[in-house]
Parts: sequence; C-alpha cells; structure tokens
Amino acid sequence: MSEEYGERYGEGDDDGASGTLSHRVLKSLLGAWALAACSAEETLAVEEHLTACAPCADEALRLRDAVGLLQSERGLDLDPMLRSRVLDTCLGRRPARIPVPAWAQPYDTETARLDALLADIDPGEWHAPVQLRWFEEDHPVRRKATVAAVIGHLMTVDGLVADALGLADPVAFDGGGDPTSRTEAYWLGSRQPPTRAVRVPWREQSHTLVRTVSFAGRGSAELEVSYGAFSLPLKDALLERAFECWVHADDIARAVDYPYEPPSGTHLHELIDLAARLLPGTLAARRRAGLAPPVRGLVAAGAPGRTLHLEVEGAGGGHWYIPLDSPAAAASAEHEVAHIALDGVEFCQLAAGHVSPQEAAAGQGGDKGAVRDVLFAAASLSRL
Amino acid sequence: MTGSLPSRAAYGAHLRQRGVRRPVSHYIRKSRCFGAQRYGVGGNRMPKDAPPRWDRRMQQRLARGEAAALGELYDRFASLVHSLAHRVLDDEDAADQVTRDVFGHVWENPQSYDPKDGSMRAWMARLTHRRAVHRLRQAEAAALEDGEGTAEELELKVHRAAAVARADYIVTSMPAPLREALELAYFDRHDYRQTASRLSITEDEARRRLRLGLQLLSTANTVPGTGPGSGLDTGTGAQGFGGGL
Repeated sequence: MSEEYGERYGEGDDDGASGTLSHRVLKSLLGAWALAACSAEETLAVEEHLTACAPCADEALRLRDAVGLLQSERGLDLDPMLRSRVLDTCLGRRPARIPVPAWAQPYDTETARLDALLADIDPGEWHAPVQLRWFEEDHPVRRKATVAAVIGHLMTVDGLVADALGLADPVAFDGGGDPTSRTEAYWLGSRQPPTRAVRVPWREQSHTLVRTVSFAGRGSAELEVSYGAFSLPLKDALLERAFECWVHADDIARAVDYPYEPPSGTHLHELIDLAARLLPGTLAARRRAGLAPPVRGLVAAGAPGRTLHLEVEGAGGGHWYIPLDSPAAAASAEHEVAHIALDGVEFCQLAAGHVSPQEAAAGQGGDKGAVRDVLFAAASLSRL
Repeated sequence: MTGSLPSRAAYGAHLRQRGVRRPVSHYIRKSRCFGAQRYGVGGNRMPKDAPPRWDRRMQQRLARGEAAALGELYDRFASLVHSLAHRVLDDEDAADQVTRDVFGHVWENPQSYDPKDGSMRAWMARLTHRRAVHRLRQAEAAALEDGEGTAEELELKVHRAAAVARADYIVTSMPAPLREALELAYFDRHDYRQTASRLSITEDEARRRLRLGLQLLSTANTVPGTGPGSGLDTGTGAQGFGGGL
C-alpha cells in the first residue's frame, strides 16, 4: 500500500535527519518496530523518521494497532463433551439418513477425544516416553513406548477391524495376526521410530471405520473380527477398540501431563458390559491353562449355576451376574455365591491391567476363591 | 504512537480464574503459538484429501445425511468455530451455543455452501463470525436498555470484538513463514535478528515477514469506508474470511 510513496521518498532522499539509514530500510523496519523487535538505535531512527514521513507514520500506526489484535491468550481447549452435545443438537434438528450405529459411537467419541489431545500437544511431545502396563499370566508387565509408537499400536490393531471390513490396512502387513504380533511387526518394521506423522493415517482409518460401519448398517454388527487366538463380533470389536483407545489416551495424557476424563457414563457402561460379558469365557480359558482351579461341579448348558454378582458403582455402573462354572451356564441371582463391588473406572483400570487384582479397591463378599478367580480373569483381559 | 505491547503479565492468572483444570505450564506452553496447528493448517499435518476436493465431498456427504460426515466436520472445524466465537463473546457458554448453531445450520443447510465462494473453512468462519457478532450485539443492546453504557460504547465494543476475531482467523490462515516470524517476535520476544537466525533467513527477510504479517493482520481493523477492502462490515463480517490468504 505504501509502495506508491517509494518513488517520492526514493533511495536518494534519505540523507536527512537520521543520516544513516535509508528510507527503504526504515520502512522495512516498521513491522519489527511495531513488535518492539529491533535495536534501540533502530527504534530511535524509526521514530525520528516517523516525525518527518507521513506515509511511514500512517503505516506505523496501522501496524501498531495490528499488534494489539494479536491473541494475547490461547483459547481454552474445547470441552471434550461438547462434541456429543453439538452432534446431538444437529441430529435432533435433522435426523441422519445414515446414522452411526449405537455400538460404534463409543469408538467414534473416544477416537475424537484422543485426536483432540494429539492436536494440542507440542511436536516434541510425540517422543515423550509412555509407560504401557498390562497383565500376562497373572504378572504385571511394563513396556516403554512413545506417544507416536502408541498411536501406531492403536492404528495397527484397529487394522484388524479394517481387515474384517475389507478395507485397506494402513500398515504393510500380511493380514491377520494377533494384536501383539501386528504391533511388534509395525514397531520393528518401521525404519525410524514412529513420529507425529502417524496421526493422520491413524485418524483417517478411524474415520473410515466409522463411516464404513455406518453404511454397512445393523447387519454388520455380527460380522466376525479375528484377533488371532479369538474373535469378536464387529459390534464388540469396536467397543474393545474404544476401550483400548481410552486406556492408551489416558496413558499418553499421563505422559504429557494433560487432564483426561473417563468416557461418558453411557459409553462407560457399554465398555464395562463388554468386559463383563467376556469374563465367563476368560475364566474357562484360564481353567484350561491351569491358571484357575477346576470347576467344582458340572452344570448343564443353559441351567443356572454358581454366580458372582458384579456390582459396578458410579457413572456407567450397574449389576452384572457372572456364571462361574461354565460360559454356557446361566447366571442367576438366586445362585449368587460371591459379590464384588467396585467403581466403574476402577473396574476398567483392572481390566486394562493398570491395577493388580490384589490391589483393586473392591468390596468383596462370599466365596473368596470365586472373587479371586473373577478379579484375576478381569486383569487377564488386558494385553499390550 | 507510544502505545506499548499488550500486556501478557496477567495472562496465567486470568486463565486460572476460569476454573479449568490445567497446569499453568500448559497454558504458557500453548500461548506460544497462534493455534494454527490445532486448526489443522499446519502444513504437513493436513490429511491427503485436501480442499477443495475435501470440501465438495463433505458437502455431498452432509447432503446425503451421513452422521459420520457430521462428526468429521466437527473434528476439523470445531476448534476454529469455538475459538472465534469465544474471541467475540468472551463467554464459554455463549461460544458453546454459537458452535451448536453453526454446526446445526451447516447440517441442515449443506447446500447453502458454494465452493465458488471459497473454502468451507472460510465459509464456516464467516457463519461463526456473523452469529457471534449478532449475539454480542443483542446482549449489548439488552445491557443498553438496562441503562449500561452508551450506544457509542456498544458500537465500539462490537467493532473491536469483530476485529479481533477476524485477526485470529487471518493469523491462522496466513502463510506459515509469516506466522512463524510473528510468533517468534511476539510470543518469544525475539528481535528480528534473532528471528532471522532462528528461521535461517536473512535479516532483510525477517523484517519483510514481520511487516507483511502485520500488514495482513491490520486488514482486520479496517473500518467501513476508510480504504480498499472496506466492506469489513461488523454486522456481517463477511470479508476478512476469504480464505485466499
């Protein structure tokens, strides 16, 4: 804008008061001057020049005012719960023709929350050490990773679901595999340690998964997703992925000193429900592996058997009845032999292998062996 | 002419008052960039499907009534929408409400976006700006009726709020080299020589970037009728969000 004055105040016109700096240089200093980013001598020279040069004085004033518009504070982070509120408002005004299935919503929400955290951290923090913890054969295991490596881990295991849906795997991997070997292959396979570049493919995959299951609709809920040693129906696989996303987001949040809340009560309830439903099968597997004592008596399939009452308190809580004798036995409140009461988040921490069965803050009653078996089974739901 | 830089001294205390559970260090750390990274304009972090193709596909998906698309739209623009609204209104609840309104409007009227008029990002910024300024005007008018302040003060406040919000948008949309130079000089209090050395550019170039960055920013302050691009009407705020920066 002030370039038009360049000719009038041309290069030859600078031997005035200041004598040392040309008009061109003084003009080029106006931005730095407005930001108080030049030397004392230069500041003086500029200010002297402004008394003599109207175009520069005009511009100086405008640039000074512009500095006043710079954000002097960072906006607060978005309330993570705002997303659900905004989406609910929208869907209330105009219902979706292609909705996100209810069983995919915890995954949609948890991946969005983690992505918001990742948007907020500094580039250097992607290499911050993250402590991963889980249980293996009843012993706590720890492993060090970085923020970027954890996102890579989430991405490769999400790839199991992508595989089942016939989508492209983001990682060059020969299909299948269990979560641990996929992750190891990814970690070992990358020539350099993972960087923040992993965020985009991870997020694109999670968006694609949500979109794909929305189009696939209800019929896809029972589609089998193989985890190697076992498989889950798609609706449970996405709950499991939501659970792991939250658990690792929490690991990352701790590593970079960032507050992170548990999922909303409705979603937490779904995650607890999944874990509770997996417990009978896990108990049976532990018996076969000799990690839990054998069943005391045989129960016909479908007949009521000994039952543990799992009472989960707090947001997302509820009552679950776990058949103790066999996954095929029916749970029944009348056949309750043991009772465990604990907070919802504590239960999830247990199932994530973040607290040990012995240390879990759980109220217990009844058959001590049954309580122990179930707490250890819950911890053994965890893995890398 | 002798005005000083805006004070950042009371910055931490100001944020602590809002009762958000964040270590102060977090805010201080955050204060060192203009937030472009969070808005997804940080260059290499852009998903491969960049605008305008992304914009057109998004519009089609919204028109089709795809809830998953609405979620993706939120993930990309919520931070921008909310922070612009917050900059105008300086109120968390009001900014939440504007965010709901803007996304509600887009979800209900995806066809009202015309890719010929610019990016979806710029369009959403305009929608946000218009609604936030409208809301501020209503609140101020109500205060005026209650005998608080004068009409001139009201107009000044609305104008100022509109300008700072436009400035935020301009900063997040300007070319990264200009933004980086401004960040170093403003937040890190580097002089232009230090800025030059941090960016591995000449001192000439550092001066040029600082001046150019501020010139772009100063267009947010343009008052109607005082110069080129004077369509910066505080009522609509339609300009200044051209996305062409």
